[in-house]
Amino acid sequence: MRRFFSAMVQRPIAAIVSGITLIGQRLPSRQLIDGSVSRFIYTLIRPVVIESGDDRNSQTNRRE
Amino acid sequence: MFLQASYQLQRDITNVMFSPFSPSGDVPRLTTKMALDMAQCAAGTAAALLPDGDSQVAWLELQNKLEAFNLFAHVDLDLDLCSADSLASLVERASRLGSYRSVWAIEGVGHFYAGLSRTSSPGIDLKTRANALPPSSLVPLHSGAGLSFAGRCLDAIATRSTDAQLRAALQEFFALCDENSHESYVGATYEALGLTTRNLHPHLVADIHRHLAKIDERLVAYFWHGVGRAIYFAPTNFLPDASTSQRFLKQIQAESPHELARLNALSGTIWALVLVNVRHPKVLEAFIRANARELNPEVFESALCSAALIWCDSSPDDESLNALCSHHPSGGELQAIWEAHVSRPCLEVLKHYAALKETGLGRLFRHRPLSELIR
Repeated sequence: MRRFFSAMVQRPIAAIVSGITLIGQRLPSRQLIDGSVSRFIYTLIRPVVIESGDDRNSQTNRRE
Repeated sequence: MFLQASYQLQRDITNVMFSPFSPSGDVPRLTTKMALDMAQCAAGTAAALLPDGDSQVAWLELQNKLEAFNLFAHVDLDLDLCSADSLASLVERASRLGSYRSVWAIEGVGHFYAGLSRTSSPGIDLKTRANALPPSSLVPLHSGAGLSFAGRCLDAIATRSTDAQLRAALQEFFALCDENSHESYVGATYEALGLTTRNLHPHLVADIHRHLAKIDERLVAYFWHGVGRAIYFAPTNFLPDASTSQRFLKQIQAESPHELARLNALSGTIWALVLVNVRHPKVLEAFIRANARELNPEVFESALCSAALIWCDSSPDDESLNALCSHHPSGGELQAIWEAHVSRPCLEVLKHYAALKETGLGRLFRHRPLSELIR
């Protein structure tokens, strides 16, 4: 449930916040748009790193 | 290609529908992937339906960009990769995707695997693993790992950072690159800093440039090559507009503080354009047609040759480079330009591939004078 909440609520909000943090910076408009959109997408598509757990997207327990 | 994208789209829709009920369902990622697959399908359809011309080429280029980015960003979802798999097995699975798609997928594997080392050790450590991995996977793996390292180090910096924080982040980035890269490919990881900075932390470009200039001019060159690659992949340059390629040159001119930066940024942009569109020579043809007067032939040929060498190394069985060299553009003048500045230098540099590989392909991730490539 916590994971579901994180995926459906926290991450989209974090993506929006990450995108708009650049607005205060002195940047040419094109770089500002590029930066904001890239940060928004990057936050959404970044695989979640989980310390433990057995689900497929968790990124621990390597076989090597 | 279109059928592949359609199949992928069907799979995405099913995954998104069922992901809320699955404990491992990552809804935001699956939704973004589905949106990118839909856009790729739409771009492919537009390219197939439009008559030959600049608009068709623009849609084709968009499709290629989306495909490359989508494979890189979602390789774990595409191949059902699991953190429990070894790096060699991840590379082996990504290699099955075909000569074009596997290059971007392996870059994604490098990014994915290097990201795992945040929580667990050992890290990706390509220095010791290089001999056990397919030689063709080493360039994309280093490049992907570099993007992960750069993302990690720069994410730790707040929006308003002090000089000391930035210096510490750069030190950490270069330490990670040096510890985890084979010396022949370390340039591929350094270059990723420019790409990550320009597109995710554009407010830091000038400060990082200043810090790197104090350390080593070569690092400045790698950085700006990455910035050039970032300009090619910038969201505002994804729009399928025939004038996009002319905008690249203006942007490079506007963003580069000096000649070394401009040379490398231009080289990085051309380099990315060639690699992403290597299957479709008409995209490169349209770029040359639109920019023939402004382009410096030496820089263009050098970037093209570097890209050809990287492609030859990363995808040795692919026939796209041969097709690119034997392509015949429409129009006598353009045909002569193609012969002189694409086919001839490209064929010539490939003869020196083995010798250049000996000296380290990581060096190709910054502008090299043509005379250094073709001796």
